[in-house]
Amino acid sequence: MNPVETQTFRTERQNARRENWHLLRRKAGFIIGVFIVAIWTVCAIFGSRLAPRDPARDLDVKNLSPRRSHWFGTDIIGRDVLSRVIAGARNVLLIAPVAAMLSIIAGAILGLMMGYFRGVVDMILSRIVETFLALPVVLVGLLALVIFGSSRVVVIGVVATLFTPIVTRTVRSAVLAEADLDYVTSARLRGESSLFIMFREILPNVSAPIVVEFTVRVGYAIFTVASLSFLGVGVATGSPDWGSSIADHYRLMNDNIWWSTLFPALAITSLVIAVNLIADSIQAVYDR
Amino acid sequence: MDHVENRAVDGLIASQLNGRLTRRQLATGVLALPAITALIAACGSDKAKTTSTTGATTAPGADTTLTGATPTTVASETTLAAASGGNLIVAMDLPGGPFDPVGMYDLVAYGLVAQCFEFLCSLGDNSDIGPGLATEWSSNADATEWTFKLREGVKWQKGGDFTADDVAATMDRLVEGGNSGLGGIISKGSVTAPDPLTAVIKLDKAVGLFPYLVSVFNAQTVITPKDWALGNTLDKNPDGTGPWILESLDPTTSAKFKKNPDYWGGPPPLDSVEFQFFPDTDTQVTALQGGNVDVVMQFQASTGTSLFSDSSVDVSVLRAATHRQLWMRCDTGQFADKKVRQALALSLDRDVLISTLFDGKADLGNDHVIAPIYPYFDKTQPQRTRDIAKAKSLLTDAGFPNGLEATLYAGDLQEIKQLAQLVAVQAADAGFKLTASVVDNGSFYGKYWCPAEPKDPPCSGAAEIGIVDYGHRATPDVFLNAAIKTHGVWNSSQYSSAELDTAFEAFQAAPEADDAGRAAAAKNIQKIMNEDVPVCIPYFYNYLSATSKKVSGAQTSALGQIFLAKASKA
Amino acid sequence: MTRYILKRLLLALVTLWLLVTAVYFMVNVLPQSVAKSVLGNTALPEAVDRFNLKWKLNDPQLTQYFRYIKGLVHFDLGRSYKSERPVLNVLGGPLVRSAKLAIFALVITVPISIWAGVTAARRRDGKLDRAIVLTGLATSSIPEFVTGALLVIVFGVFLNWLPVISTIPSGTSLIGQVRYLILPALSMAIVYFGYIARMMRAGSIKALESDYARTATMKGLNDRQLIRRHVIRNAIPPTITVISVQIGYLFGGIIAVEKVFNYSGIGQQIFVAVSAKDLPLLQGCVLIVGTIYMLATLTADIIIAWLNPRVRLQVGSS
Repeated sequence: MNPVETQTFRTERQNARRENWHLLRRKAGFIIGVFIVAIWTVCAIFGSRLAPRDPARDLDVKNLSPRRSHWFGTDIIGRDVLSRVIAGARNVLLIAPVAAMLSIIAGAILGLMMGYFRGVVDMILSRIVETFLALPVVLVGLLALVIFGSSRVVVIGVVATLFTPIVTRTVRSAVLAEADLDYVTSARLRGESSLFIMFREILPNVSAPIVVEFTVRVGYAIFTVASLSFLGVGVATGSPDWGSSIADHYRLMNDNIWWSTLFPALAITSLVIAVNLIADSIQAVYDR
Repeated sequence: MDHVENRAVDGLIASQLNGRLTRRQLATGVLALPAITALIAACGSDKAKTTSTTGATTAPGADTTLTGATPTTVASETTLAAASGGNLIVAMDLPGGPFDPVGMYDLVAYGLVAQCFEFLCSLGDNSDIGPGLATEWSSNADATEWTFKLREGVKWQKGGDFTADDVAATMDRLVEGGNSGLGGIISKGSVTAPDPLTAVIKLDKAVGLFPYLVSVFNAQTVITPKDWALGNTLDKNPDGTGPWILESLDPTTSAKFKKNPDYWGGPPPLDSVEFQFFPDTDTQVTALQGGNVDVVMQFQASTGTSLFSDSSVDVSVLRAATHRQLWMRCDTGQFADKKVRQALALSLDRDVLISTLFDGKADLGNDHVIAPIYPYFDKTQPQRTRDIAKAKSLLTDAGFPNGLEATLYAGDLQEIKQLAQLVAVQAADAGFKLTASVVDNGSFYGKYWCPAEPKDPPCSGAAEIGIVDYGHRATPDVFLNAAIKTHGVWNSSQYSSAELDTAFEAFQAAPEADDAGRAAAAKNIQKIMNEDVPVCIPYFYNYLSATSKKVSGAQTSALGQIFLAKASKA
Repeated sequence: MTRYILKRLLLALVTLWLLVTAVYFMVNVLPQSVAKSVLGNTALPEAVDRFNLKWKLNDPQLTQYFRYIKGLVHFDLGRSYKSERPVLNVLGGPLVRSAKLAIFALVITVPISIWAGVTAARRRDGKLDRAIVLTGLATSSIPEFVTGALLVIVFGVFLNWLPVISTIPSGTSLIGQVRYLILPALSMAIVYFGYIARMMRAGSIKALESDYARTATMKGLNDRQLIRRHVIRNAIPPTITVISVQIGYLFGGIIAVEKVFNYSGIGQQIFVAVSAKDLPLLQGCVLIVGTIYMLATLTADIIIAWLNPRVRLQVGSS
């Protein structure tokens, strides 16, 4: 394959990308998803400045039911639940995309190597990948909490590490399909280095499944981060994080105090659904 | 009060704590025993050495000082006719350790073991001791030798009669296994049996109220059979002289007992009892309300609010000395100046804390350990209340006109997580920028409260500021001795004051009869602690337990034991 | 086929060994000594010594490790430090209870999801299809504990139909237990629904588009026959594969659900074991979860091979 051909290849890809984008914008699911994510992102960035009251410091009587002064009621020590739901977006929206991105980077590198070199490298890595797949995320998260202490970094590390094998598998099978194609063979014949072939030749051609995988992983990361913070991993004391808010309040439902649990739960629900709508739309467009 | 005995008593409490300062126990809140008050109060009293023959008599001198746990509401005794038969279910925490009568260290094990095995001295009326396997006891003049008359006709569940040999073997095992209460008091072979129903225990030193050390208040002293091996556990070797026979025990779910028809006290009215284990008390509350269980051993006011208005449940509220200490390092760092510590204490709104965390079921604290339930509590001392202006000016005087920043460490236990956050919020008004960091209890004790290193002085590796829990004590001796006295083993504030040490000494030295002297010393302690604020104590909270109104005749101790031989369920 | 299964089993054992080793060494880099974490931080030195002696914790790390592996070979998972009971006995009850919950969840969800997936595929791009796809998407992405909390609010608090917690009173009949299991099982079933329905839909679409299906329709095979003989049969294998791979992941949900409903299963045990640093118990949990995962993937492969003769032949020749 000569450089001119590579050039046309690239323009074709750009065109395809443009067309995909055009299609995406017309999908209702995508628009709704982006809209919801955007709202939560704004909440995550501006947090307490958007909130009607200070989510941490403004105390009223505890466990007030929803009313004019507190639309979502007050929590176990008298803070405004609405304000805390708004401020609580930050934790999950910081951790989940970062963790997903890290797992994508690591998984792409590993997957490329496994798919490209195959043989022994592939076999050993496959075994390790399979071991990781057998680990329940929450179990490992709890263990990591005990060993490394409870912090955001640990949560990001755990989620990224546990997602990497899954990404690796996806990328590997995509690479396997590409590795025998002409352009790879000719690049080899040209004497290009393996690194060049993997990252400049193959990677661009498997970018579609990687993008899809990323959006899907973000959804799962939100799921996982929320579950871990519900179990008490990686959140600062008194953090308005949704998962830990639920953990702090779900027992109060016994006493019919439901608002401090319901609203964070709805927040998580809306965010995961939105992210999945986006992921689903992107996948549909690529699968076309 | 005799000094040696006093130390023995204090050693009892301290060593008990040492041995079992486990998460579970701390979670249960109450560590020491109401009757120790009686024990200390009666120390040196002549009458204490006389025989107690009937169960109803409380230890002499105890009635006036048995303030360790004053019931303000007591479960309605028996308005319902005692019905026969049925199964009673008690909700408890999850067990934390082995069900080894000698080596156990958590309240759940205490509770279960006490269903089958019995004590020489059992739980009597008014939270005092009464006759158990021993029907009466007496000592020689200097209280170094105690004679226990044993109950006749008591049978082991596995067969055979209960005799003095069982007592002797049990005491030897307790020495070998290292019982925290009996250490240094008895040695191996200290029990002789002039006849099968008399056990004579020779002590290594005089202990005026020795019976308390072989009673329900020293949970490991249950009498086990002669041939019992050290390390045997109830679940593997079910036996005992008690009213209940173990049927099954699964530490993840429940323990089931059936009645012992041959019990010496007569067959229990109930057919069976079951103890269900729950990972948290809130669920136990739900289970009680849902009719799934009949008794909840302990619950928290903030999540059990609905129990108070539930007409089908009796809630017992015991005022106690259980409290939290917000310690501040006095030797180094930003809190070394007492003005800063006073400022923090002034920034707290204690009424809000009590209403939010306990729905009002707590006594106000005034930054000293003399709890309002103690008879020598000085009521005349002015209560510290919130004064932000004064706090700010104190902070400015101390060189912090713009406030200061610190991390407030605490362990995740009961209401402490919410307390830490409330303290951070309230103190912020005075200029303290506190970041609450609540971690799991194990890390908290090991890293922030009293790290093992540096060893000398103890706790010198403690965090600058933090919150630690203290269970109920019948006297403030342990609080003072461990947490406040210079170089005390739990002195996380590293407070060191000759003045306070002297006052504490005077408090301990006051003879039993010298109420005025003790009160004067206590007043002095209150004054010094309130002024220096090595620890801020916002409240002393009540011990809460709940029983379905269907149940009558159940007796509980603060050590996780519940006695059901006479209990019945409508 | 036998050879294939044996090979898979062997590989599974290797994976299990890796798993056990990883957890073993992870736990042993803990900053606090095992004795202190079990006995409490203020334990007396003598007690710590006794503990170490009893559990032979003074032996070199590798010796302990090999002793543990040796025990495993004999199906001896050791004893829990805390309760001192054999790990298998400790975990037996909880495992059964968790299995009860999971099976109940599957019983609820499998028929509904298969129906939903197939229906969606047949009405592809219709309103019903969109509804099913979106519901599946939503339900599979909401964490179980959130679903659980929402279910409690609706059925436990507002309607007051079902118990808020799932601690089953002893002596409850199997039918009576169902009442307690509905909400936790439903929280899990809802998540599974999303997975299964989506997979079934994709598989069914593929099957419906295949030449076989077209020929069959042309030959006059009616819809119901086509679905039963062809579509479901072809759509199930990929669904099984995907689900079996997800088991390790789905399992995490049980821990949270058991916490929400205070259901004493394997999830609660994991929680207890981790916070108590009860190594043998924790290892037991990991092993059991790992084994379940391995067995699930293996069973899935076998079912697929059995359903699809082509795979069976390939396996035989490889």
